[in-house]
Amino acid sequence: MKSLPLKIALLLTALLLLTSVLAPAWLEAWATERNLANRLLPPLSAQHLLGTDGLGRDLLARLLLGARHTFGIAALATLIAASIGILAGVLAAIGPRLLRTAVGRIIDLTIAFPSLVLAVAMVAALGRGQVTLALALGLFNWPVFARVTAAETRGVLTQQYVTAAKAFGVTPWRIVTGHVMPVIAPTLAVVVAFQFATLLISTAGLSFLGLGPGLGVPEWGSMLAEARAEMNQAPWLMLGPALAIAWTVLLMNSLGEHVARRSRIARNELL
Amino acid sequence: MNTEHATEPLLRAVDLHLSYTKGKTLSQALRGVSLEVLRGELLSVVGESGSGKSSLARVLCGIEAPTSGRVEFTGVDVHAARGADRLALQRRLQLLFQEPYASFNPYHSVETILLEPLQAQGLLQSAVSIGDRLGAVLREVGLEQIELARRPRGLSGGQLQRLALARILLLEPWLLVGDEPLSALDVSVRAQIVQLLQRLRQERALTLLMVSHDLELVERIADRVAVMYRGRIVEIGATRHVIGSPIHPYTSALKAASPRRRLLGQAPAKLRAAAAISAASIPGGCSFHPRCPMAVELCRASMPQLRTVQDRLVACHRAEELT
Repeated sequence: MKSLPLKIALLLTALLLLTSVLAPAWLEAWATERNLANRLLPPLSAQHLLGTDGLGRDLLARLLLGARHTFGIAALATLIAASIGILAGVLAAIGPRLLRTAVGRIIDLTIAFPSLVLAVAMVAALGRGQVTLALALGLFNWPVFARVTAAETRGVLTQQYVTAAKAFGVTPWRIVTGHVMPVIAPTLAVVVAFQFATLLISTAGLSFLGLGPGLGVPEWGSMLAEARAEMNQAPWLMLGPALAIAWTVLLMNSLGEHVARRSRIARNELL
Repeated sequence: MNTEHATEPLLRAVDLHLSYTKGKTLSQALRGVSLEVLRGELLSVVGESGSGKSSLARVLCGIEAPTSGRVEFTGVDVHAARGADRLALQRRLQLLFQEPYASFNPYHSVETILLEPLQAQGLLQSAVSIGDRLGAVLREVGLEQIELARRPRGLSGGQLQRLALARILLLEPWLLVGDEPLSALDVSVRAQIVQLLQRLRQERALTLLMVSHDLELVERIADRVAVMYRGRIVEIGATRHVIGSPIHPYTSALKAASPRRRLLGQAPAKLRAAAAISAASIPGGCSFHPRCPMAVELCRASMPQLRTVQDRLVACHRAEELT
């Protein structure tokens, strides 16, 4: 499959990010405004481009606002996972033997448990909410980052320029920031993009199961769950969030592919 | 660091052993190497590949720890030093790599490459003069035209080795250990770098230890030569003695095998092929005896120690007969 041109992918991502960060008050008001007289309007109705749901709320507005929740939660979860994972990976690569073994065992343990089940347990313990969900997903999905970071870091550490740097007395921390990070950053960016797509599906999935931010919050997963009730009368209510999820995931994947291709080209030019 | 005693050697290695275990096989890179590097001299270590000369360079610089033995630089134990002592060592004792390109991070600019050691050593305080210092050292190594913002990729082998030298010279080293720093270069470039090294030696009173397999070059530039075979020094002394009139059969063979002497029609020594000997197992007695045309029963039985024969040290049972 040919992926989206990079510029379009970047533009769409920027739009999603902007919507999720800046979603204005009027969008919120528009998305939550109920009008039972207008319930279950089909798409292309006057004033409701994509129709309305069972409570007469505008589907387009809810999808747009959904970006804030689904995209935002997945982004926060990715940030948490990447931060923990990259730190753990670096420690696993440069730390003393004991620390390396410990990190390795923790990674194995974390991978051994199904992360979705753990996330369910955590949300059940801490209560529902955007941050709780992001935390639950982030805390159990960092091993991918740790594994990649550790392997890539070890590879860089065997290079002669690291030997030279050590011989000059460069501290381990500066070797990581100055020598390792610039080399492995493109690889990590690819992992971030693909992992983000995965976490977006997890976010929507957990919300669908009722572990999301809560009733009435236009999150794509929970919108999908609510739409089930009116599936026969108003199938577009399911189609909207389903397509939003699918397209965002595809968008992230194609972004990841672009980053991968670019970094390969850059590396070939440099090496 | 102690710089008072000018008679003290700058670097002293005592009974260095270095062995690696690969799976079940133990390979010994160094088997009891002792040597001294005197202030201001150019000592060359020669030997065929696998003789342990590169391992020796790495151990002497503190990059690799020996299995046993000790290296002292200005009286400080290179492998035991910590803190300020270690940092001072890392400034004054420098290694010049065989492959200069691999010793630069390809993502770093020339400027970053040059400044990194200074920063690591805490020598970056006077930010004003840094530009001048970079300019001066780049002129010194003949790289005044180089763009500071460029990456090392695309630089020629000679330029890369000059850049490596510039990076090291900024630290004002006392001893420069070269691990075959010329072998990756074209012949014409090699001559230029040799010239540069000799000039630096005079102008900066640098002491040099050069690992090399180019015997003709060594004969031209080295004050003293150490010949290594299978992790041991078999002959060491002034160049005019060791290369001029070698005693150890291995030194003679090396000399006879050098390309120019072969061109001149001198017959190479009758050595048995190195391939006949497995890499991991080192024969008992004199390790050279399976290839030695002079070997006798004694050579199979006991390992010869270095002893003084005609103004140099030789490890050969039959040294006297060979003079």
